[in-house]
Amino acid sequence: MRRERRKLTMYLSGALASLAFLLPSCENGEGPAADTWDRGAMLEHLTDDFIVPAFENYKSQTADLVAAATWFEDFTDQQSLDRLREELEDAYLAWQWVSFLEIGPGEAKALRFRSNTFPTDTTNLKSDITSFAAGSGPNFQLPSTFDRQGYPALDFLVEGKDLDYFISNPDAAAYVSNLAISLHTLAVDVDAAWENERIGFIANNGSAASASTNKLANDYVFHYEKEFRAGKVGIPAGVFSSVPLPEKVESLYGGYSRKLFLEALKAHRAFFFGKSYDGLSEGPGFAAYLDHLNVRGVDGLLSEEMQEVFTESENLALELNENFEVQISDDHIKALELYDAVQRGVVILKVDMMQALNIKVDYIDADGD
Amino acid sequence: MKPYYLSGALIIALFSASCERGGNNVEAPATYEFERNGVSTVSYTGQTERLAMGGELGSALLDPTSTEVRLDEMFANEDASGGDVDPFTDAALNASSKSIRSKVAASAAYFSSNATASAQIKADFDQWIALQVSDILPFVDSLASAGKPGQIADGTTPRYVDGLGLEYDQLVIKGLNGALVLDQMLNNYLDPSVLDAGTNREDQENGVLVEGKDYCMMEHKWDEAYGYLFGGASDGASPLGSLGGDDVFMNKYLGRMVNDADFESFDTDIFNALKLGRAAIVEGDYELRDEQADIVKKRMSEIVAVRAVYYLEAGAVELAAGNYGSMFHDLSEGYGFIYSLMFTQNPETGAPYFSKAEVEAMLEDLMDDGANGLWDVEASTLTMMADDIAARFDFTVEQAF
Repeated sequence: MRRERRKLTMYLSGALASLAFLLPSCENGEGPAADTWDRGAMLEHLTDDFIVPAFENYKSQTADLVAAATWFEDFTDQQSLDRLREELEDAYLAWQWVSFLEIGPGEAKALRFRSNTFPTDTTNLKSDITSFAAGSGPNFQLPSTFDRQGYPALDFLVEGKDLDYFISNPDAAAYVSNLAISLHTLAVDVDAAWENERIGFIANNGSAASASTNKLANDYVFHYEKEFRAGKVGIPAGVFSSVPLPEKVESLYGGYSRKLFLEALKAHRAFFFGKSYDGLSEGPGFAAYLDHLNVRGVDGLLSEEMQEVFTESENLALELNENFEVQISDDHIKALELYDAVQRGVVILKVDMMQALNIKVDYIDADGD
Repeated sequence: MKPYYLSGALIIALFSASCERGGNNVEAPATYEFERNGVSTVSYTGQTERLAMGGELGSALLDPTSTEVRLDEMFANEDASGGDVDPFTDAALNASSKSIRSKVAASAAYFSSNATASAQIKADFDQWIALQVSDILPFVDSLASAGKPGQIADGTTPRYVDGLGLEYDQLVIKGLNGALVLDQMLNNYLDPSVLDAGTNREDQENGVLVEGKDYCMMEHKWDEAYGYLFGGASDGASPLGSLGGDDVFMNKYLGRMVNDADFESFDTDIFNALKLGRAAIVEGDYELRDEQADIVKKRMSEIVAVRAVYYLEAGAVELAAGNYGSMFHDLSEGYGFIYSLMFTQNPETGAPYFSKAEVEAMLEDLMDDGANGLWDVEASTLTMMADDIAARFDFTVEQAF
């Protein structure tokens, strides 16, 4: 990808150079506006109107999840299981709004890795239930436990098992509470840390690699590429393997992978366009920044092209089965079409946007060993 | 072209009942297949076995139940007193008389009169294995921090490091790219002193086979070089189809090279040179043989250097992003590739692109920015080292990364 970007850059600058040569008369002071954008104002809006309320809401959703898990542990009946499933889905949806905010406190606590690494390792998860009951559960801070905690682990137990399973395995119900509490504790920690760090985060309004705008843009683009595009669609659709891998979808047991994808799309779109978390207002975000610089794509504003990517991706997703596992098993080509649509956004964000904002991409594609 | 190749092969089959010299125009066959009287003369089972032993060793180095004794036995395929052992899961490897350790830093060109360096290098590997067992495996269930061993996240993958941030399994396996594969291939089997040893030329020209074998000695030496790169392929005659997946050593990294537009011809460059050089031996054209050997030496050396630069630059990016786990993994791989540089060979000089002393100085630089090794490494250390390595080769840092 780096290479792709570099070659595209070379191509673009080559094209610009020949244009400049052919059309010297068009050079009279036109072109992108100088970067007078107020990064501080943008950071304040994104932090106070999106990041902080998103984490506040996420924290309260995970509190509801803990309450439902405790209730289920106590009663272990169909009603409490149904409620638990609802609360799990609600929290999983709220998660989509903070998943790409892996910056500052979230990054320090490996929030995303601990909350949503899938597919989950069901073998180790089952042995964890036993060891937890024996008083020596796993240390969830260890990277080797990332794939047996968080939503995917809860999805396996809460959605993948029925009431009879829990009645005959009370340790499993207790373990569901343990998983939920761990998620909630993380959410509380990260939320509290944001309250403390918000001022410093907003004040770090420069353009160095470590400046808040640079990090935020990188984290957003990274998430769009690796989690939204590859994790939710590309990997299970078989883009990176010789055969489709439908068992690698998000929410494998709950079967609502499309819903989670659409929620993540909504969150990415809102953040890109500077919408407040509650959706009621709008302020400076990446799209406005690009428009301020008059950054254009092939035939319009780059921000409008990104809007088209979101719209097309949403429309294509709505044509898929609500369970991507079923969709990919039946006809993975339609999932590949969705992947291609989302991928166009990677080029816009990672190549065009980052270049226009003069932000260096700070991540590399791991070479996989 | 194809019928022409075929008729060439036919002529060899019909008329060269011995290893006698052919015409001046040597034609490489389409695949790495060479026969005499309808019997294949190609053999490199020893290389295939060592590559497989390395694969098992790599996994065992990360198994918390591994003991130093078992790992040492996998490395040497014998016990401390030289007795037979069965450390592998693959019975064929246990039955094998081959070993990795005996071929580490053991080439004719570099080490036949430098037993001291050879012993020091073997001792490095012994020490890395010992450190993996003493300083990493007991701490797999702890969180690593500066000066403290344990696991640390590289994305969702746990990496197991010592207090300095090093993964010794990576030092061993990546270091073997140089100490085993390059050294044996470039500095031993492709070296004229080995190819032309004893009566090899005479035997080749008179078709004298090695006793009990179907090949002449010189052919076999060349095949052993080939085997260190392609010996893990299921189709050894046309190995490029499975390139990258046939071992954990240079085959894997040649596979990485061709994914990069700057180096995409490396697979065919090397394969064609090995094929044509082998055909040149059959035809008795030793000048052509050595020209092809030089191509292989240059390209194989470049792979090691490109990977070293790549991991240094990747480490710098991860450092900037604060991803220490990813950085440690990159730099542990990089450490092994830098170490491997001393086994490269510049065909113009016959010497490595970086001497043993230079390599050791670089590795010291890598580890001495602070008391806690890679925890304290500075970006400038990494990028300067990458620049220094690239400067001695025909590629740029930009191309390698």
